Amino acid sequence: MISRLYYALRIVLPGLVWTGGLSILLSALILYGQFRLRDRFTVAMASSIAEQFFPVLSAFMAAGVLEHETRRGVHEILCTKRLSLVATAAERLVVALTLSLILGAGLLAVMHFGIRPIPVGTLLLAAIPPSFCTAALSLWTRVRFGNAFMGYTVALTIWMANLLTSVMGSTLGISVNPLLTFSSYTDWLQAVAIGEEGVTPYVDWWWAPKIALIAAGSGLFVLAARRVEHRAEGE
Amino acid sequence: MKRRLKALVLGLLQAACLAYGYIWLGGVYKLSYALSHDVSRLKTKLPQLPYYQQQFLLDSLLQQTWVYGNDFSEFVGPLPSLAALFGANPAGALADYCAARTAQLSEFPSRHPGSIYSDAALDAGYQYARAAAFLGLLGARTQPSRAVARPIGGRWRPVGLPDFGSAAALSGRLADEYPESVLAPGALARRAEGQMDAGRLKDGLKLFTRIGLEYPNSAEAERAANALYAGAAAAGNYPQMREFRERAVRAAAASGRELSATGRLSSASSVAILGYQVDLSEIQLRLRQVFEATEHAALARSEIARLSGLEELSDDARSELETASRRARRVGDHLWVERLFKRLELPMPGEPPAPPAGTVTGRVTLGTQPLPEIEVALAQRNTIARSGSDALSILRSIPFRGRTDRVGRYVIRGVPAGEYRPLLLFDTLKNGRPIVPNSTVSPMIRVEAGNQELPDTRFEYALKTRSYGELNADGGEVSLTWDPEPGAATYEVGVYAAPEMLGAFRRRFRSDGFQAMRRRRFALWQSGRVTGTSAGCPVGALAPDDARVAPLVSYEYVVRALNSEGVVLLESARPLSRFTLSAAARVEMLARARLGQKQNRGTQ
Repeated sequence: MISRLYYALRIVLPGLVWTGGLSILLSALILYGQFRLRDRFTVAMASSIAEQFFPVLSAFMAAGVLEHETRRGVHEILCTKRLSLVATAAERLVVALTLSLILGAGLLAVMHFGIRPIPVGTLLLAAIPPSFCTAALSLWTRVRFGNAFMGYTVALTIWMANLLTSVMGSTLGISVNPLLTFSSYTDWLQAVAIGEEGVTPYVDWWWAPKIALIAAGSGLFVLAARRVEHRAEGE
Repeated sequence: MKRRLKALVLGLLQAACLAYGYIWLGGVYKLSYALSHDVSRLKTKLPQLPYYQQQFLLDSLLQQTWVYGNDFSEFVGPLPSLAALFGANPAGALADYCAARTAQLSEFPSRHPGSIYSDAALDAGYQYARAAAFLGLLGARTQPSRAVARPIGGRWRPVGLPDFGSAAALSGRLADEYPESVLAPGALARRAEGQMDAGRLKDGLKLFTRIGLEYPNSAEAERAANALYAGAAAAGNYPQMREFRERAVRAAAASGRELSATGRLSSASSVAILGYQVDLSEIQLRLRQVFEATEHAALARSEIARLSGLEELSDDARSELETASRRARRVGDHLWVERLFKRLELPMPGEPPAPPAGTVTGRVTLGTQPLPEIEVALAQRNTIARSGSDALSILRSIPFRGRTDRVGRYVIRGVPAGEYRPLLLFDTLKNGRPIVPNSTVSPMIRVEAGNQELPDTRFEYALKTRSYGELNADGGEVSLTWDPEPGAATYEVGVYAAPEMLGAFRRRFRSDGFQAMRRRRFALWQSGRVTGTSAGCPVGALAPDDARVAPLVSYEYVVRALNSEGVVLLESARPLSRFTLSAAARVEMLARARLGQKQNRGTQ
């Protein structure tokens, strides 16, 4: 399994030079901001970065993972593979997600050792469902529109919309769909910090959005894999 | 081309399905959450809006509440029209909307007998009814049935109070028809507060006692214990005060634990309980229970030390903690003195001297006849009586109140010596005719120990005005009309800004100072002597300093009936003579005001 993932990594890695560079740059900017405001740094802030920023990294990484296959004609390449196409797509997605989470873990580790101790593992776990969902969305839109840039753009648009609805929810108390929010764990941490976890709507069910995001991500992944299969059959 | 068009239509349909699916899925989640939680405890960002209406605001805006059933759709209801909100009288338009929603929600249980939202509908109806009463008064939609008068410039100045009667009735229905509902204790508490507001203190306290017995773990049990404590404190009954404080501690701990998902008390609850502990140590000190007082004081000290170390304490909680800390130190000092006396085997010092208290009496008449059912309140120096619903909450906190009996006499007992501002609470109509207090009054009354008789307060029947609500302008004038008064030869009319709208005319009266303007109530326009029963007020005179606030401005007018010698016979009641301008009148007012400004600049 590890060797297969390593194989997938070797295929994916050359295409991630620019997106990886951009991700590292963004991470560095966030770190700079956190170090400048270190007095105000809290676990909830770190959680917010994990739940809101890691999905962006995942979207960047996932958009280009089937680049070779989709660019050169799927059928010929797929014929040379021993694995099913769904398994190949799954491996690529896992690799992209792992890369973004490794980068995220590094970011959290720097905050942990440089600013204030934070539960790095828990925050990484909390970031997995939204990251998986945006990664699958990015992959699906890339396959659907045949353009990696569209993958980034749609994923970023959805992320931005989610951020806006989260902000609207936390400032005005009006939420369209609290089930698909990325920041449920952050909301929980913030409510606990001010002792209002029993009186703030939805925060005690912070796990429900995580399950919903995993389900939504899985659905999107199936759609993306089926789309690639259809393209292969079409050719 | 045809294929592309088909693909585009299909794509748009898919996008629409996705968007609606997203909203519906969110709605199902929000409903599941609300139905499995006690929504009365959930804090919302817009406290004026009921929980469901706030959570489903966007669903309602997109008209997607039908998905969750006919009853739910009606329960959440439509949103007010945006055109009305940005129209001539936004407060009035909102009041109409709230009144319509109140009517709809009060009939909800009978229209949907099996609905699970019946109790929540009555609860939401209560909030809409309150908003309708308050906004109806602001937007001159309803005439106030009650008013509060306070002394300004040596005379009584009455201000209309919103009538929360229908809101209280809805609360009563919720408490009686759905006693098992999680919303029932809140409804009962509101009913009790309504009784207290209406001066029926005993009935209010009975209801609070019922809350403590029937819903001991609810947040309202703490509220009830606090209300009962305030009653006992006003009567100076220390054993009862101790009992109610102990009850408040138990209720706060129980409800605080229920609110917390982890079973841990929040810092806000802990600070509140700490305050009660300090109260208890003070009460026990007064009751000479030194051992118990020492125990409570020690408990409070350790809690202060724990809470002071918490980082997440809010500003309010921190300020409360500081107050509790100061009080606990004072209790500690008293205890030290008590222990010292004990060690020196000296007789214990007596009770700390309480301020001497007096009994205030007086008489209220209507003309020369006694006037029953008038409430007289004495507000402490720092209490400010304001208009609107604020006045009600301030009045509720005034413990020194008396009500006139059949011979027009009132008695207020146990008033500690000091300076007080007198207030009058009265029904605006008596025998179908408006009444107003019409006697001189001193702004502050000094209460001394012993009995004290205040000067008589005289009410008079007021001139009945006919113009109220949204008025049109005809030929650049707003017509103000009133009923003829027998014996009156002429009338004088003055138009004023409504009390809460004085700021909109600040620039116009700048030279006299805003406070002077508040006190003397400068007229925006004053008529000469008129012989008929109507006067035309030029709309240009009513323009506020800033045209943007014009839709929010309300006015009041006063008509004085004079006899042939120019002596004032009668005055109209200001709270019953409120008006706003229609959209057309407002446009005309602003146009004329601009023209006037240009002419002024031209002459300069």
